Amino acid sequence: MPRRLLAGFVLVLVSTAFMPPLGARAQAAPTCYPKCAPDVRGGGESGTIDVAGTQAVSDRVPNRGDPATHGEAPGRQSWLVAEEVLVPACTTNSRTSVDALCTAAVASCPAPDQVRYWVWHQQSRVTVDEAGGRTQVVERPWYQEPGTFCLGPDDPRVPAIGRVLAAVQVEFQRLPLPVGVVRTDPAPVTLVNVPTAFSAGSGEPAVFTPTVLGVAVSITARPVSWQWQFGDGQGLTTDVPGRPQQPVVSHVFTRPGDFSAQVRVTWTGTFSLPGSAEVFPIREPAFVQGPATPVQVREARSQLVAPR
Amino acid sequence: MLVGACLGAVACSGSGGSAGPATLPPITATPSATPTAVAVPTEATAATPEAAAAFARYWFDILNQAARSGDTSRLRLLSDPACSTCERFAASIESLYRPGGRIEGGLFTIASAEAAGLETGATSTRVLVIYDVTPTRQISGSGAVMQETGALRGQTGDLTLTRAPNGWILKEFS
Repeated sequence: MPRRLLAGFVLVLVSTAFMPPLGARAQAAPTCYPKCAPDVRGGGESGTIDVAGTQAVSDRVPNRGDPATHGEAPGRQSWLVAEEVLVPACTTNSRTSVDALCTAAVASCPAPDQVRYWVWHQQSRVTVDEAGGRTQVVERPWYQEPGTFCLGPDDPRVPAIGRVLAAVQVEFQRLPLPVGVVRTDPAPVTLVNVPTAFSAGSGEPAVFTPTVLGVAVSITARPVSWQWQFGDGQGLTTDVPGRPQQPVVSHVFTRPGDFSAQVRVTWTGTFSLPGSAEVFPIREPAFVQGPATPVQVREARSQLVAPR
Repeated sequence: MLVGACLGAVACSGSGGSAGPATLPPITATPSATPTAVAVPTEATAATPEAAAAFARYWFDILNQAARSGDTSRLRLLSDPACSTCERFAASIESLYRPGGRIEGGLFTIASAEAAGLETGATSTRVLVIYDVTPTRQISGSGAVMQETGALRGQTGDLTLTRAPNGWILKEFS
């Protein structure tokens, strides 16, 4: 896994108002138990990191304003640079290593594709003297912004690991999941008014290890439902794939004819990331429609035969 | 006398998350005396994310004890005086028990506790806690039900811990 690549994700913003105002302390409420803690899920915590006052520029974000020259010697310029690092709220992560997700960070946000982050800031002053010499002095070392923040994959501030969650959901729909091919017993000719056994594969899970946004993801897909169409207008949904030559899944044709049977398999999935034992769910199932299998249904007639 | 950190199964910190043991060992204290310090389990004292998460779980164990017994002395010792939420929890418990009332239920179960990575030499850190709370009834001294609260599920708490001489204390809970 390219840990270094992910760990190096740093977004630089520039701010002149560094400390977001702390929320007003709640007034004492003698009988607030057990809801004495404010609900941090409310409103602004989702995607509203406070970088109010953003107006200056850094060399990484050019042409967004003018450096301040107030109080500087002629020809000398300085401006403030605010760095911001978003860290998924997981024990295994630090400001310099953001490459792990955990259930707490994933499951505690309102939207299923959001991740909860801690936000770190650092402020520096960059000075360019008359000769073009450049210095950068940290005025406020790294500190954590109060609160946690739920951000989705479309937010440009989130690290790559935060986008993996959404990308895996998309990747799951593209996996070459096994196609259920209908087998009938007896085959290819079966009889009216006699149970015909249907089956389609083993029902075993399938494991895939695609690379998603540079991360080797392990996806486990499990078939959970089989929707059978027997071709005579009748259908059946089962949670097993049937078994060859056994009437686990069966259908009785009531009229002769040439039919086409098909099965649509529903797959659900989970995935895990390198270096983590946590398993994350894939929200949307995938559906795989199998090919048509011809079924010839014939009538049987009794006939007495004299023994030889 | 041993005071259990887990008051029944629902009071114990649950599993989930990677930080800390599922259930911390009981503290040793004499409930009739006002303690001046709380024996925090050693795994919850170090300046590591894992210990910070373990401390957060332990703090909720102590909160559960306080809600069950009315004794908030340990809760206060593990909380910074400036922690407004901590103060509100303690004041709520005391205001119910002082005139003879009590709290039924209202036990916190920790689903997960995740701590931020610590900067070298850092004196504070953050712990994200997801918790459930069992249904709560506030009973007055006369036995009347003053307030009922249904079960709370999937609540999120953002805890700020700060280093203390013997480990961590809770500085804010939002």
